[in-house]
Amino acid sequence: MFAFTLGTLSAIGGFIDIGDLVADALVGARFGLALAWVTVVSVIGIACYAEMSARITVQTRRPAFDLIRSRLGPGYALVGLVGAFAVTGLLVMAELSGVALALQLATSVHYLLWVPVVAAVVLLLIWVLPFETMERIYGLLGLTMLVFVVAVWHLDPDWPRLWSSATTPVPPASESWPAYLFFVVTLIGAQMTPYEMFFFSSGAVESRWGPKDLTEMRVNVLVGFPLGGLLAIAIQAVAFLVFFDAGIQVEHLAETVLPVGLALGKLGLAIALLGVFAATFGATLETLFSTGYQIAQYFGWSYGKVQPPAQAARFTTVVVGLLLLSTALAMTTLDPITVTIFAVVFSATVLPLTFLPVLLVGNDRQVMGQLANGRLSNTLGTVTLAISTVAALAALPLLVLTRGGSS
Amino acid sequence: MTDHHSVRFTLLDQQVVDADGRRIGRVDDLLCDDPGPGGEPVITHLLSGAEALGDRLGGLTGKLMAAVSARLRTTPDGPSRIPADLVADHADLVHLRVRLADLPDVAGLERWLSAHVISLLPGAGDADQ
Amino acid sequence: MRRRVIALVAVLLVVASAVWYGHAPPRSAQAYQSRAEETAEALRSQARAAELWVRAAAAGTVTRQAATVAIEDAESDARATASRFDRWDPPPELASTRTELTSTGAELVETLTRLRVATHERRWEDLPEVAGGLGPLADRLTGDLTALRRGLR
Repeated sequence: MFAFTLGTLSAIGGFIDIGDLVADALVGARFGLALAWVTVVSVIGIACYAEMSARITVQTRRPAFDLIRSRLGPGYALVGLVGAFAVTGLLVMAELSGVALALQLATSVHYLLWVPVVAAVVLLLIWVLPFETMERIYGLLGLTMLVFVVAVWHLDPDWPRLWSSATTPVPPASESWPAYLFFVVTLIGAQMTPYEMFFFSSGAVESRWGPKDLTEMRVNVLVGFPLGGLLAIAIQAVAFLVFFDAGIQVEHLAETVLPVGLALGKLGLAIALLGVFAATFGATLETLFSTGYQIAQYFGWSYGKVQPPAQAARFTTVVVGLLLLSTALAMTTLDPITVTIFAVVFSATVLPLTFLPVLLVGNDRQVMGQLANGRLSNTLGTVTLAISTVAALAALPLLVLTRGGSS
Repeated sequence: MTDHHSVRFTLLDQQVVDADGRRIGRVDDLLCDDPGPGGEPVITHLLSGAEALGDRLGGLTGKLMAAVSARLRTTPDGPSRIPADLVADHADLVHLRVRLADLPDVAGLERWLSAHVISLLPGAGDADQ
Repeated sequence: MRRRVIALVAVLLVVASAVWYGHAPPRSAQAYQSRAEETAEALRSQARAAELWVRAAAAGTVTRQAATVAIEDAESDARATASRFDRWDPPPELASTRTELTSTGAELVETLTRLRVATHERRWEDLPEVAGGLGPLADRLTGDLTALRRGLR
């Protein structure tokens, strides 16, 4: 029972990463809750695919990405690998910077000074800690993000106005349709993150899940992801309540957490910063490992923490190499918020490429046997795939047309 | 190995594990014997490694992959080979009869990194448990 | 092989023109006006954000560390916004808009710099007074925005 709850709690905290922290606040400040529906759609979509990829693992005892090459061939899998690698690689840098930014807000020491420190701690932790321990700690700490939900209440909102904003899916008077649609795509990219799907399924392998864990896995997904979505909407809501009328745009992490301070004082702000720290630190680990897993699974290397690093040398080298590369990128003073926006938009662009193979493997009766996709999985999966394809095609034109959302 | 099923699904691109269950690589290509007119080709070796995969994929990407891998190679000639008679069964994963330690030409990069980089660090464990 | 080269060149051209579109200075009066509006909105946002942080710091609802970082950010943002706007040449009918916005931008940057210096010198009591100038600046920018929107429509 304890492990049950722990897994669900980790899923809630693990939903939020730097992409959410930036995009949700940005969207809330400019559009109110007019994009909350995107979060709802994204939660359903990613929950569907996370369940599918974990079910694949439960049945085959191998991670979803592993099977993509076996069943769909190396050429196709390589395209998926390159796409996901490029995006997740950028995200590692953004998450790492996010941790540093949270530390900067707590101490006013410049974030670039924190980046190497955080990288060193990450390196130490991935070397030393068992997989499950890492996941659990950061998932639990990430629960402190619930302070955003509490903050909504304390800001004494005009509830009818919140409701009306959420149920009017059109741009407000101050915004144009292209900008609105651009941020629909941005939110999709920020919330339907492929690395979550692969991490979830690779984690199932590391934890050696089998058919008897199916129910537990489903509860994790069906409870964890929607609650994570609730957190995302709370971030949008507090940004709406504090910034919208004043015409303040969110351009920094500081603005994401300011509403919590205004609502709950210094203690609230401190808890929010702890939540941000935990969410971004956890996401750094997840994105790092997810990328490492994908490369190792593609080439058939040994990977993960079930064996000592010396027996998974290529995997370990790739993960450490990627961490060093991301640290170097972060130190080039590229604005982490801008990188985050670009990373999530590109994430939206490759989304269909990562969903399609999972849908195909999920339907493969030879591999899945009794646990092959049912009608619900297939319907939701196909609809999500369709939505993500439209978003992927629209992403780059909208990015150019709105000049990165400025207009 | 005289299989009448499509090797595309039963052999190629499958995960190779050694006798200890340790992942070694994938079946990136196959080497067949040409028996002459009337006979069936017999698979003599499994080829594993990015070089074999690159050669098989072809095109610009494939050539790049093969070239990079060839530079990192520790064996003198050609991509790593596993003799086909070392395969115990290939129903799901391709299980070998031997351990990785008994296949000096395979997974050279893994060995090299393990010996020269990873094992030097504290807490890295043993490469051959 | 040739087809691949053509495809690659086409992709590069599309990427190059997209980048150019994003970063090119405004060429028409319409484009300049919309950039001016964006600038005014951004500057106003930075002014109001800084005001909010100062008020919150004075009320003790945020930590001084967070407020310091936020004010530094507001200052560097305003500086970047103002200098980017400075670089664009206005069409003749919008020359006065440029003068007005540029001077407001300069005042805003000046105020934010004073705020930033005050936080670094830990003169927290002085902040509300210095920040007092932000409100009027924000109102002026609102006025500029209204004028802009009425102007060329």
